Amino acid sequence: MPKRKKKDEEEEIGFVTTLSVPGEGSVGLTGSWRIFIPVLDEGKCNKCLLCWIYCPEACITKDIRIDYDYCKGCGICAEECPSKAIVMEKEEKKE
Amino acid sequence: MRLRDFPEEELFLQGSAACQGCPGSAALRVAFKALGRETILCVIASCTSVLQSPFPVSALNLPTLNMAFATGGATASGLTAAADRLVARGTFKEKPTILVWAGDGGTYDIGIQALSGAAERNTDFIYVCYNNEAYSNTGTQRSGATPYAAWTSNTTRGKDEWRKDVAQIMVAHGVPYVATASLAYPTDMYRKFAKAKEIKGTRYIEIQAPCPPGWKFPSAHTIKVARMAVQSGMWMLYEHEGGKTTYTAGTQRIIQGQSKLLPVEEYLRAQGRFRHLFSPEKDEERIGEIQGRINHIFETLQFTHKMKEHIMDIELAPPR
Ligand SMILES: Cc1ncc(C[n+]2csc(CCOP(=O)(O)OP(=O)(O)O)c2C)c(N)n1
Ligand code: SF4
Ligand code: SF4
Ligand SMILES: [Mg+2]
Repeated sequence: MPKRKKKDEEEEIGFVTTLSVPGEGSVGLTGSWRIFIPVLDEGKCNKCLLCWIYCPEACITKDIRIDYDYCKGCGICAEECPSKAIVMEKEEKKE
Repeated sequence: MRLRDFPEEELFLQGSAACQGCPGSAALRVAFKALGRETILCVIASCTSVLQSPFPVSALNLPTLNMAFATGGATASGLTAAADRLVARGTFKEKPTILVWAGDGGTYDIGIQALSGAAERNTDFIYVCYNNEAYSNTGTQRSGATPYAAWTSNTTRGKDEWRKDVAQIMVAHGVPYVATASLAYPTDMYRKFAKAKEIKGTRYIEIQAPCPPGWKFPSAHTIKVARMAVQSGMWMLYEHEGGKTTYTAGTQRIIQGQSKLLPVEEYLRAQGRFRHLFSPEKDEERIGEIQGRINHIFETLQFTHKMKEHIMDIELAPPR
């Protein structure tokens, strides 16, 4: 870029940025979107990790724990679990 | 690579603005795991612009540029030139992976010129098209990737035209690596990304991304629909390098005769966007046309496979 002298007002104005920072819960606790809740029966789970990789929200940990703060209740984990260890149940919401 | 060997670290963070069952987030997770932290991401206007969430917090834990619709290839060219300079100066020890992430609208229709230019220059980057077969973000309008007979908000009786095939257009560019992937086959997808990461030059990966609100199926069925697409032959899994195409995962099994093609009718029935093919009465003609095309492709591939096995090893000349 060619060198040039900055005008005074340019220095005063500075710049505005729309830089976001990465973070969990970027639109809040998305668990509140849920109507059906996935419930895991640990006895039936064979730790195949399919639910872990298929959950679009990264809401299942690699040791198969579901994060209900963010789980949106899409039902993919229950649909894909080959051992039927996860079932979707209607969630009773506490006010 | 087995699932248990996939890295645990999540670079796509929970609590994003994505719809329930979003195929875009599912694809981002696997891609980010394979590519790792040393990646600079350029997102082209699409659902991914939205699902990363509004300012000031982002679900994408990678340096990200949100860029205009037509600019995927051009942005990558700038980024990769800048990264090369920073490596030469010693600011970067190693060159990060430059990743462009665009929808089918941003690839098939609006971004193809910039993508083609970058590919012709063999720009050093990975271009991903996550193909949800419509302009989903703006309300499911048709794109060049929308399949024949599918409903969209502006093809209300089903699209009249057949989709084009940008992966094959990229093969025709002679770039070092082209692959297709499916959400239902995460180890296949992971392997393709990990391989692409190690190659220099233009790499193109296209992921089919079944979209629950756009294709009108329940959010729990995203992976199931993706799997049926491969099983029915509506989506094919392959990779192309050094002038040679290798079919992979479910597609390979069908070609080698280990599994049978699923009748396409079952795939179509699973989605509301094809409902007009079944009600008020069954549209045998259009369903038959779709099945006919699939049969033709697979019969040819199965025949070539048998020839290769039993008679001779056919090697196609590498492009250019
Ligand atoms: C030049 C231009 N025209 C139109 C738009 C509006 N727009 C933003 S995203 C989008 C649809 C993108 O479709 P696709 O690339 O398939 O991504 P998807 O939303 O399906 O993920 C449109 C039309 C825009 N951002 N820029
Ligand atoms: S219901 Fe959906 S969001 Fe919730 S844990 Fe299962 S796959 Fe993840
Ligand atoms: S898919 Fe089912 S069996 Fe496999 S790890 Fe998840 S809960 Fe366990
Ligand atoms: Mg799209």
